[in-house]
Amino acid sequence: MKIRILWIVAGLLIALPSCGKGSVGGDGPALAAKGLTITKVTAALPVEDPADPAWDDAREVVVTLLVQDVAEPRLTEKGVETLRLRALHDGVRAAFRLDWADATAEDLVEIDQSTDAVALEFPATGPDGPVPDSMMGEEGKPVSIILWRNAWQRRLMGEAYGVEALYPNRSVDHYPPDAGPTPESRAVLKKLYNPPVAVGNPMAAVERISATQDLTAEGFGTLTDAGKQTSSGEGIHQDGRWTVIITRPLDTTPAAAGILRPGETTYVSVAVWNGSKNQSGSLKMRSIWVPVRFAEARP
Amino acid sequence: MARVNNWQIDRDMSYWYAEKRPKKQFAAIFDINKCIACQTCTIACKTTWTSGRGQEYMLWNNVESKPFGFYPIAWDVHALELLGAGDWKDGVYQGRTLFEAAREGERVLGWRPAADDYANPNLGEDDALDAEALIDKGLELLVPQAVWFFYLARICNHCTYPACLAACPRGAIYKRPEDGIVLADQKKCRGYRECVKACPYKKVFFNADAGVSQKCIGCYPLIEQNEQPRCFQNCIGKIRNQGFLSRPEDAREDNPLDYLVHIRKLALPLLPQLGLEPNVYYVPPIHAPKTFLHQMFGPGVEHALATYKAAAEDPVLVALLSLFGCTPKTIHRFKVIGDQVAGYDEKGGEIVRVPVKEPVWVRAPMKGDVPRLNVT
Repeated sequence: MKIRILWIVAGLLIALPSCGKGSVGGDGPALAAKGLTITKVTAALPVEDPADPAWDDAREVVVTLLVQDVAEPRLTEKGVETLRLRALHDGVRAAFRLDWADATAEDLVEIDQSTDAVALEFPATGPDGPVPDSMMGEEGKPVSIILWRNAWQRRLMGEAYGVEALYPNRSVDHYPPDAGPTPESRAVLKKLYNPPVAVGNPMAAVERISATQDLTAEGFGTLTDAGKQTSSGEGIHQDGRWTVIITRPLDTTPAAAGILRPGETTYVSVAVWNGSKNQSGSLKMRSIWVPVRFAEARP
Repeated sequence: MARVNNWQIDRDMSYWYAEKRPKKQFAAIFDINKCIACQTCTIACKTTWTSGRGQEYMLWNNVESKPFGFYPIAWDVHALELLGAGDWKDGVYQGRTLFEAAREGERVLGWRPAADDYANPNLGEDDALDAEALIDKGLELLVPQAVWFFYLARICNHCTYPACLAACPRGAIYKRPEDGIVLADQKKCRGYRECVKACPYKKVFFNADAGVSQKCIGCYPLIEQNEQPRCFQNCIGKIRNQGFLSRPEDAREDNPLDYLVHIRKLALPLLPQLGLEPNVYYVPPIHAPKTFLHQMFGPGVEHALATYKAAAEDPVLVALLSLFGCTPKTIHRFKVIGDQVAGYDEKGGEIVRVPVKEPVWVRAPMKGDVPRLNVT
């Protein structure tokens, strides 16, 4: 519990609520201790429209971002320094609205280019468990991560990706997987000629079901697919800013280990990758833990 | 960083992980003097492993013309420029390796190629375009650069200290303990491309379709059947021999790799000063400037060239070089038996036997009124 209190104090230092639209005006720093509040909505959860007035009921937290300077490769050039975060829930799902400055939108990955991305991280150690390290957790103290990538959103929207998008005018004599006489045989060959697909690497999944990926980690270098995809996300790039809404089911089953359970406090941290700076992996801006609590609908 | 021993630079050096050598180390020798750049090796590899989407530009095996040929563009020039000059003194490298020279916050001193750098693997290398005009302008005076070249066949070096492995923050690249082959785990990779940036030989490639990095796998399914990789089996110039290399202190005289690398010191590593202890060794070309070869293969060049030039008078060397390309199997031991040389598998079974010198018949130039060609 002492450790948890320490993290709350640390969260105080970086998660200052703004007094803009949607924030609880007038109470300033006193509210900082509360960190992020996931406020219940009475109407539909605004999962698609970041401008939905329902978001005005969510208190905005300005999260300070720091360079990832612990694990190699470390980010040596400072990127985006703040991210505005709001959260709502409807008793079934929680929605997080993340908003940060990025002059350009990148949605393809090549040898020399990366995609824009953002991630939410939560402790996965239970309500009474120890708080993991905010940087990818630690051995025996896992974290749960939701990663949204603009490249995945592009694919989900049915747009060309990979070489089809990067080199639409390329000339190729023959792709062996295309030689199958039937759609079924072509599907088999496509897998055979694509080892990461054949071994089930979600990065290479031919059909994407979400622009996000649910992950777990117990320290740097341990990021692993969660095995079950429950989150989703959608981003809009406008006027030099990204606004991404990430939704995730609330944990309401009594027996299940919960990450987000109404009534329980927890923490959240965020990470941001700037594709135009070729950031990926550990080359990212990140925050430390921000305390999270649930709140009833505002009257 | 751990301290490890790198025998190619004859000193200890810093590396991200502790020294842990495999049970056997995949290694190869390429005799540059025999390569004709027919690219059969390149095609053998290409059709076997990299014919899928996202692999269009990948050449896990390539042959480039030195000094002006590169794949990707200027791969070696960039690596050497980044590292800077380093002296050798009595066979000991005095400069810094890529691991020791790593920038703050990184594990390896690397550079990330642009996608276009791979786009023209042999552009202009063998092009005689305007050669006459250039000669008229005094091309022959630009010695030595303008009047020499050699072919450099390259695969992954399956390094003892792989930069790709050191740089991967996920540990998705691993070195097989049974044969030292370096592989990129296709399930674990998340496409960060740190390996692409770190490998100075640029033999790890990003697949933009699959979103993961991929590389030469040393044809490990063949290695597991005691067979040499595809690019070796298909080499029509018979320039290649794959085997397993011991540490210098454990060198066996009957191991083809040990004999040529450690005992006769005829085959040399590519850019040993980078510090990766690469495991593809080259018999250096005899007609290139020694300063260039010294930079490319280290201080053993003069000895290797002298040994190669005198090889015709050396029955064991002639015999062993005759074994190159004579069998698809991996030769673990060899023995000269009279005017023949035999190769054996790991258990001592004979797998190939060839004459040290092919018999030659000289036929009369004319048979009656019909001219005849001599053939061997």
